[in-house]
Amino acid sequence: MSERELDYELVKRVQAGEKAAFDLLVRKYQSRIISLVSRMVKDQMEVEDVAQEAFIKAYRGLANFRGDSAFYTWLYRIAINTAKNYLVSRHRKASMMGVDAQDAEQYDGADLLQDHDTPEDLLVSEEVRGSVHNSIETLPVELKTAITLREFEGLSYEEIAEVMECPIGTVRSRIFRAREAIENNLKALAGE
Amino acid sequence: MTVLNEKLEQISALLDGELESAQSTIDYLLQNEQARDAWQSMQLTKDIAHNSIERQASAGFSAGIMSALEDEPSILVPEARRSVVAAKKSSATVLPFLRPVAGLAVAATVAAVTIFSFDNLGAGQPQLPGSALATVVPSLAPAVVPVAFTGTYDSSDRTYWQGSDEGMQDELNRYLVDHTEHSNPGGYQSMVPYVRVAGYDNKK
Repeated sequence: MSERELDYELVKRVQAGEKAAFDLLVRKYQSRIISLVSRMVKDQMEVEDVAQEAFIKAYRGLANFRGDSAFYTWLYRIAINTAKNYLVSRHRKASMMGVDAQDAEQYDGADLLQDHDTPEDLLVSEEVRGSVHNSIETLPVELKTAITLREFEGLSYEEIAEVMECPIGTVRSRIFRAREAIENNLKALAGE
Repeated sequence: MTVLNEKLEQISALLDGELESAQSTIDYLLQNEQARDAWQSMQLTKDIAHNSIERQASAGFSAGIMSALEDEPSILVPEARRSVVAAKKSSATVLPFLRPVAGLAVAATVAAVTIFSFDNLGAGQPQLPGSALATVVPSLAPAVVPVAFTGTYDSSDRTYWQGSDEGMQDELNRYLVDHTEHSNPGGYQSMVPYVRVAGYDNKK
């Protein structure tokens, strides 16, 4: 089952009344959607609210999702539209508060559509990213090779098995063990 | 390897789109909070490795959404329901040795129904004397000009008429053949009325 098929399977579960399957879709795409929204919305306090609204809109629209496009593409569009609507409503509010549209460049809300990175967020992100890459570097060679071929070269399990001259089951196990080790390092970083 | 580790390994493969039969793993994920946490953190690791995120979701982000959706009605798309039920059924564990046994049981049932149906064809058939029936035929069709016909109705082996007048004999036998499908042998309604059985003087 490919990733797209998996998403569609989860969508079908939601469409069949299994609401909990939507939780799996949220958990899978939450960080990507939040990152997307954070590139559009400056106020980082609002980012999660906008992302949450996008997910809720997606849930409400799932009854009409037919799988013509990938679920993520569809969700991505909803998130962009939700962020745009949020920015428009913010702009309207700002206008009503007496900010002249011609002074928009000086106004704090004018650059809402530009990309933004909060330094603090980036710092955390770099630290986390560094931890992931360091974890991979320190893995035993079999695990490191398997996870590198998968995540950075995008090889399938079958192709990795061919390269590493081992059964597919071994590849699956090595990739899992590599992920487990990386996750443990991330947990240590987060102080859990 | 523990059961949990085996399940987590399946979840890892599922996220990579490399698990063939995913239904049971999805079911497990839906029932197990710890498995869902693992699903989330494995996805996060993948996203970070791919540089596809700049910001993580705060803890409890998904829980907030699911709580906001609590009052939302569940979606029910009939096609999806059918599809999910079918997928679950096909992935349901069936003991392998039971499959041929189940096949044999179905075959035996069909054979039994067929045999008993055909048995009814002859068992309940009243053995009428040939002459009695010969006199009845014209009275059933008064519009037909009565014709003297001396012959016997033989139902011992095959059902057919035998007589001196070959033309009449052929006509009566054709009548029998044409109306075989309407017969209700033995008084039992079975599948036989829907099967066309035509036996016509194969001794000739």
